[in-house]
Amino acid sequence: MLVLIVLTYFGAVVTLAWFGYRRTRTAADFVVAGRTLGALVGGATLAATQISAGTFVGTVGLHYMAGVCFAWVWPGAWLGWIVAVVFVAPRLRESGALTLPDYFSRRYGAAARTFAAALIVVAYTIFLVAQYKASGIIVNAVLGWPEWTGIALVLASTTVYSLLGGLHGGARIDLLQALVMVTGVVTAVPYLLSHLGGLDGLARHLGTVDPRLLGWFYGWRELLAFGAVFGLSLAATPLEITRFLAMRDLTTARYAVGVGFIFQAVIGAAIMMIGLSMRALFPGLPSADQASSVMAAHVLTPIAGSLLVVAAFSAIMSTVNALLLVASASVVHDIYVPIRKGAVSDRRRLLSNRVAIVLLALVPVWFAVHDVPLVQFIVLFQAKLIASSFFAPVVIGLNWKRASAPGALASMLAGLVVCILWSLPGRPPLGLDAIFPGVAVSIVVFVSVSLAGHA
Amino acid sequence: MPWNFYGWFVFAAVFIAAYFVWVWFSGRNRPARGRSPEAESLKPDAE
Repeated sequence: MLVLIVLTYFGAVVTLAWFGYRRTRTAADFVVAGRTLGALVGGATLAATQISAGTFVGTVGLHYMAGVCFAWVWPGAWLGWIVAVVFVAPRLRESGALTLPDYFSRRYGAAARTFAAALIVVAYTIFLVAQYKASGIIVNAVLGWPEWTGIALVLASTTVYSLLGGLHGGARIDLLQALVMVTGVVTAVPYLLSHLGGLDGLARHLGTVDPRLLGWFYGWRELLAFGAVFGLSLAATPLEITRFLAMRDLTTARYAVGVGFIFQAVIGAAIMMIGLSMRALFPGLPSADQASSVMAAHVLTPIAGSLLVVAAFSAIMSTVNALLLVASASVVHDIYVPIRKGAVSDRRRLLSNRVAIVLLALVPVWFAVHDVPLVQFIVLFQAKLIASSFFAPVVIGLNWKRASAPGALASMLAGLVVCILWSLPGRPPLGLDAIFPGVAVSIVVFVSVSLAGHA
Repeated sequence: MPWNFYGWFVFAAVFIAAYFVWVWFSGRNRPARGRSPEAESLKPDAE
């Protein structure tokens, strides 16, 4: 059954990738789908990009570990999208930029563009490690195959469809993947609840395992920190905000965010139920990250288990696709083309994008086959790096006329350094998560250096 | 199940509904196409 479902899924992906390939004629088609996405495809691509291995492996694991309260992190992510669509999307679209570093070059000059492009490549390489690692964990737990086979599967399939169809293919595949994710997780919930005697039975089991799972395992400070990580990074992450550049117009982008909320709420609710149910059924798993794959292998029926595995792979592949597209655009459009002083034909840019995708997809494999920490914590770390560096120059810079190039460059650098230093092993100073000092220092430096330049 | 479980579903439904109401109203009150006067006034300093 798993083979049939997987083959059907990959057949649909290949068809959509071919459709994208036929529509991709220029570098702009490849990077922003010719700015043609509607609200449904746009919303699906926003949600599918955001929902990643971090959700299917890590968030299930965090619900397994911390219970109901972790669901209250979602409002932080949604507020981040609202900030993005109100304060970022309009200005960014009007700038005519193809990428975020492209906007930086128009607003802050060449140095800011190069710095931003390099940071995107580094942060998204870290993010890719988490996606590969999660695919290995799932394949190992469900099929008993070595982790590298899952990594190879995601690497091969996603690289091929990314380099063929660009965002034209990627966005439509995202819609397919978002629908597969909803089907996979929603199908799993009734099976789990039937094992536990419904919601009341689930609550009874959880109360026996640890009463904090039904209350506030994390305090408001920790939940605020998790929510802030997601919200602040979503408001400024190139992965999401460059999707706004691909939509038909601003109204479409606003509706797309609403469609994304619906996808996320449905998937988020089901993920919470899965994490809670798995804790009630298997309270002593060696790692919380194993909860979803143990469920797919040992609890669900073959059809539901297969759907869940395909849904998890959809989440991973859609995020890997987005990471590869954004990082390759940074390498080609924002580093390679400026080095060649723009003397690169559109045909060559398109080819360079495809070559960059292959190279960028291969680099994180080395890290993924080695031991890395919990998937969700890798995802959070890169999100903190992105938020600390980009929040001030993107969200404030787009809306503040006095923002200056030195201010932007200094704030990105300061935010990055503070975030890394604050994240060093050991207890964080003052008990504060790294994202708060990172973003705060970045904002202060951005405003003060910009004002000092004008004075 | 505790109140923070059911409360999350209520919150999500109200939040999403309120968002669509805002988009619908803001869509009625803005020109369909074209650049806004505010954006035109925000000239990049670096250029």
